Amino acid sequence: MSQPPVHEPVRRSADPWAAVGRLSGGIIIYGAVGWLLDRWWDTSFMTPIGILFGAALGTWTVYASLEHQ
Amino acid sequence: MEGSLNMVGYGLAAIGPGVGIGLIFAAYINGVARQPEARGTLQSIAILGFALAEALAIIGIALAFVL
Amino acid sequence: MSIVGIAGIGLATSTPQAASGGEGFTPPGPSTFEYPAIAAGVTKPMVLIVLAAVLAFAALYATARKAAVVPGKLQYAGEQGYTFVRNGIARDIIGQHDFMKFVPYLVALFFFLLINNVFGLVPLIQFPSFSRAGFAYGLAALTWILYNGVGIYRHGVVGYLKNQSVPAGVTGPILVLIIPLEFVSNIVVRPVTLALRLFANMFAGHLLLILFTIGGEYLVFESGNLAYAPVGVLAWLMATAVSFLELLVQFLQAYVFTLLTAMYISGALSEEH
Repeated sequence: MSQPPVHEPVRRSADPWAAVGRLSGGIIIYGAVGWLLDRWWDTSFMTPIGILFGAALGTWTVYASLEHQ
Repeated sequence: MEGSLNMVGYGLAAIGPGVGIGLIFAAYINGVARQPEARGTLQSIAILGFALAEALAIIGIALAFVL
Repeated sequence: MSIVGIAGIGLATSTPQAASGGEGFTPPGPSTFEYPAIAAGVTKPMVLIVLAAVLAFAALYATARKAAVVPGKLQYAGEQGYTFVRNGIARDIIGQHDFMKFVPYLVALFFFLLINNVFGLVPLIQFPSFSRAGFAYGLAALTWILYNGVGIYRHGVVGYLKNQSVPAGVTGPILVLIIPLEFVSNIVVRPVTLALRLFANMFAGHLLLILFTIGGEYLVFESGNLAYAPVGVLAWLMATAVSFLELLVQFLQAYVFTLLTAMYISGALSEEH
């Protein structure tokens, strides 16, 4: 039998579920940081700010990990 | 009528990203079908667009639980 | 129609709370998935999980038992199923070099998942075991232990953490912000989404089937209003249509779970950057 075609495993940067994971990871981590800051500073708006910051950071990570020329 | 308004809000908010992601991957499939050599280039753009569209849906579910 | 009738009777007797109120219809909810103990704390979902494991083993063993060079029908079917997972999932995702070590786990995982999912449509059983969240999370925990263990064995603890926490193409001081993000994304979010995807699909499908069948039964037999009877029959037709959709979803979820397990193993083994 001839050699079966060799497949390179899918790069993490090209995997859509990895993109969802990076986004969710950013939101979880920086939402938690925002929530802790809320508890420390007794404010109520830091949690959504943390969530948005985490989403932005996650999207940037997806962008940065793709090979762009 | 009982229920959670947050979840109704999230349900409505998920329509937009759903349609958007469908359009993005439809364009990706079209592009690869017309020119299979462009697969690598188009894949990067498709994943980036997908992340941008999905971000809104994930922010939606996070805020639905938090607020 | 008789098939829908049997399905209706089966569902009505196999759900612990038959929603047949005298006044009004109580819609099915998460409490529909709580089963009473049959004997000594053993419930129906527990029995189904064990039954699926026994069936998966028995089926694969029976196809391989008298392995002839020219396969008979049973051996051929078994070989097709095995080759599907071995080539399509393991070899294509993990790569030519290391994939053989993981083929037993992936084949067992795929067939175990498939049988458990398809239990949702088998008459008189009609309960997909992974609509109980604990089972889905347990299986995802097994995959989590496997891909982390493989990565640590291959790269060492520090090397593996570096592999998982630093995405390709990101350098400089922003790495301080990115490392916890990437770590959570790889180590926490992955098993949770793996389990959640399986659980949510099975839960929603089963709930939909129950809703249409029990709702149809209520409308036809118990609502007391003859004008509702055609609507009830329409609900039963929807139940049949949703059953076909459920079959597709069950196959797909088993495939996706196994595929993602293979991808995580491949990601843990890879020498990225």
